[in-house]
Amino acid sequence: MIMPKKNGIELEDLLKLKRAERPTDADWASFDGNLKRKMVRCFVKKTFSEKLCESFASKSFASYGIAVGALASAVAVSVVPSYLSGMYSPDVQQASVQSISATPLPRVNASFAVNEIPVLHDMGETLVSAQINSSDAPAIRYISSPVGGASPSPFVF
Amino acid sequence: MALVERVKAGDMAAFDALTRKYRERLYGVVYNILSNRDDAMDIVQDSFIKAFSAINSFRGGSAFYTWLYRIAVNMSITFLKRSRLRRFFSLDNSDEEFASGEVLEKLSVNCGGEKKLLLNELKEKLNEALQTLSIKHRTVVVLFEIEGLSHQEIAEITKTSEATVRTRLHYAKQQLQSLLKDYLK
Repeated sequence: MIMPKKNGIELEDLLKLKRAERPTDADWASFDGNLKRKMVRCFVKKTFSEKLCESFASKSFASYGIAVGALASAVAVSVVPSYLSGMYSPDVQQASVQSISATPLPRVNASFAVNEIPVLHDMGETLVSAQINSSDAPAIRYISSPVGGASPSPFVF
Repeated sequence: MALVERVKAGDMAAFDALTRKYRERLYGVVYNILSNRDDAMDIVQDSFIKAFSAINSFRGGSAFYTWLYRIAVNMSITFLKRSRLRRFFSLDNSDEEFASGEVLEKLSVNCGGEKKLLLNELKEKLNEALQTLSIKHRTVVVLFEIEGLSHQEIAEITKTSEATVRTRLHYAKQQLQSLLKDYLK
């Protein structure tokens, strides 16, 4: 390093030197080439993106519909099972059973849970037993009781 | 029709003319902010492309070159912030020989045969000193001292007040004087 003497140079003089630091003609030729390449690249990129936007906006209502349909299907596939699984969870099932139990049922006298049929005195009818496989006769017949509550008289065919 | 209007109308020849008209001045600003030739070339190119693509947003409220400088300065600052580059190097360019004649003359009086060596060293020290300044201070020094813009123009470019420009310039020159005190009279 050269140790400088005080040489009469001022800061402004030094800064003026910086003005002279300019590229050569060859540098500018290269600059022009690069700039043109960048412009073309930029133009192509812009044109491509514009065309992409145009095609998306104008002609492709159909493809837009397809896209919306696909989206809706995806939502349905992902949301419905989770909704159903929630619906059939044990908690929900128990709640629905309780709500059903709380509902008053109509009163019935006959129950098919037991293999017998009670005598329906209230209705004024008498149970009659018939022989199975007798000629064209059903297994059980009801004979209407006479009005007035007379005692029924069972008889066998 | 003015060049800018022709460019707005899509005239590529006008854009070429505009590029040739401003590229050297723009390069000077960007290069002295970045201190790297290749980066400066890239940023100047990108600045022109950005200016071209945003030319319709130029309303003419300020001079076109002020608008263009603002784009270039902002891009340079963004570039510096991104890359955090602080490069130091000496410059060699035959064009400088001619322009540095005045300084060489002063050196020849005091330093005799060592003047060219000392000149290179001075330039290197100046670059180093410039790089130690903050980006905003360096920008003001470059625009005022090297590019010769007025305080008002710099205020427009940097979107600050003239008073701020003067303050930054004063502080930056003090810093440079202090850093280069061994080399200056």
